[in-house]
Amino acid sequence: MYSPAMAPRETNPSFMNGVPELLILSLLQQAEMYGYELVHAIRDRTGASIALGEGVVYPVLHSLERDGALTAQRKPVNGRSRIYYSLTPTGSRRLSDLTDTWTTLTSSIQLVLNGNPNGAAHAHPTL
Amino acid sequence: MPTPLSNLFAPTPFPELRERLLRAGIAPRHVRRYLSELSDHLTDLTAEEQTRGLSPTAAGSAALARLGSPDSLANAALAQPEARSLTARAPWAVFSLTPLALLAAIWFLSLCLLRLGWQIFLPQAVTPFGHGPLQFFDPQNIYFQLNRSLYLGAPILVGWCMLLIAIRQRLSVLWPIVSLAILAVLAATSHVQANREAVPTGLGHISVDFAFRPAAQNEYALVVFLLAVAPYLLWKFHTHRTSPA
Repeated sequence: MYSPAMAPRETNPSFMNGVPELLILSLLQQAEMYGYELVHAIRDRTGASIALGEGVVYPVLHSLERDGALTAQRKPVNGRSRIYYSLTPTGSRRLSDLTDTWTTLTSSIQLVLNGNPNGAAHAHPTL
Repeated sequence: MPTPLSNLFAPTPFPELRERLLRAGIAPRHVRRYLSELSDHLTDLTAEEQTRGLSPTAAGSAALARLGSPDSLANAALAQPEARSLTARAPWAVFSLTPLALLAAIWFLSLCLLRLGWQIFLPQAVTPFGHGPLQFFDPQNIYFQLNRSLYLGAPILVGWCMLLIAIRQRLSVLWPIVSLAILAVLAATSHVQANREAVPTGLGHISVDFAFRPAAQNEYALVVFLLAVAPYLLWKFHTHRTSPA
């Protein structure tokens, strides 16, 4: 039976807002995947530095699908039925916007962390 | 002997998760898909843990831990407000307008069948009603009695549908009771009239009017209400008796 004590330590959720969405869209841009495959890819590409409850990826996938950013297709693989997700043109545009926002945000934060007193002046005001 | 996977996964938190999501208003189709994908994911995780040398029981526990805590799994789904069902967002609309629409559709069908039967079996009759005692197995009798059953049974049938929706989405019984009350009143006050003389072209005229009429109408409304609510009461009684203390 499940016990919360067994759960691995998860990444601080306060820093995770929007991150799963960005990672999912980015990975699905390269190839269509099913949920388990996607979670594996996130873990491998981030060097396991981002730890999420693996199941929480599904509501994010479903939400992106409802928004038209992803399409889902059921396919039989090795005698089992899998739901494969792939990126749509809407999803590509969303990924581009999120990537720009994320890049600007991390650059701005890096300026602050580096102690640059004029850092804020270089940051994009749209954030 | 290896443990069957179905037994291994029996004590998962999914039944609790399902109840929690349904009670929070997540649409049943979204809940079903979420749980189905979680179940597939759990199967993959367990197989992965077993290839690392864990016993089936330990692999199952490790897989559940990796899947996420029940709270995090529930919160992830509840953070998507667009996954809530229309019934949860606007129960007043679903439980007042849907029964009206369904009842109107079934009654319209029944009146079309009445018109058709009138044309086939009683082409010369002024009205399809009140045509003497007929043999039980007379096709005309069977046709009109079946159609009558459809018309009279429609409010009960629609009432059952509304109760089923409420049970499926774990809603308060208050909402389907509103539906049943509306349906019972409509059933008791409706009156069908069919007369060929009312329209000069001779095609016949069928109409339904609604009016409170004395005495028996109230009793009929009560009968419709009770027949519609009876399966729900039986189900509640059965679940109450079979649920653990």
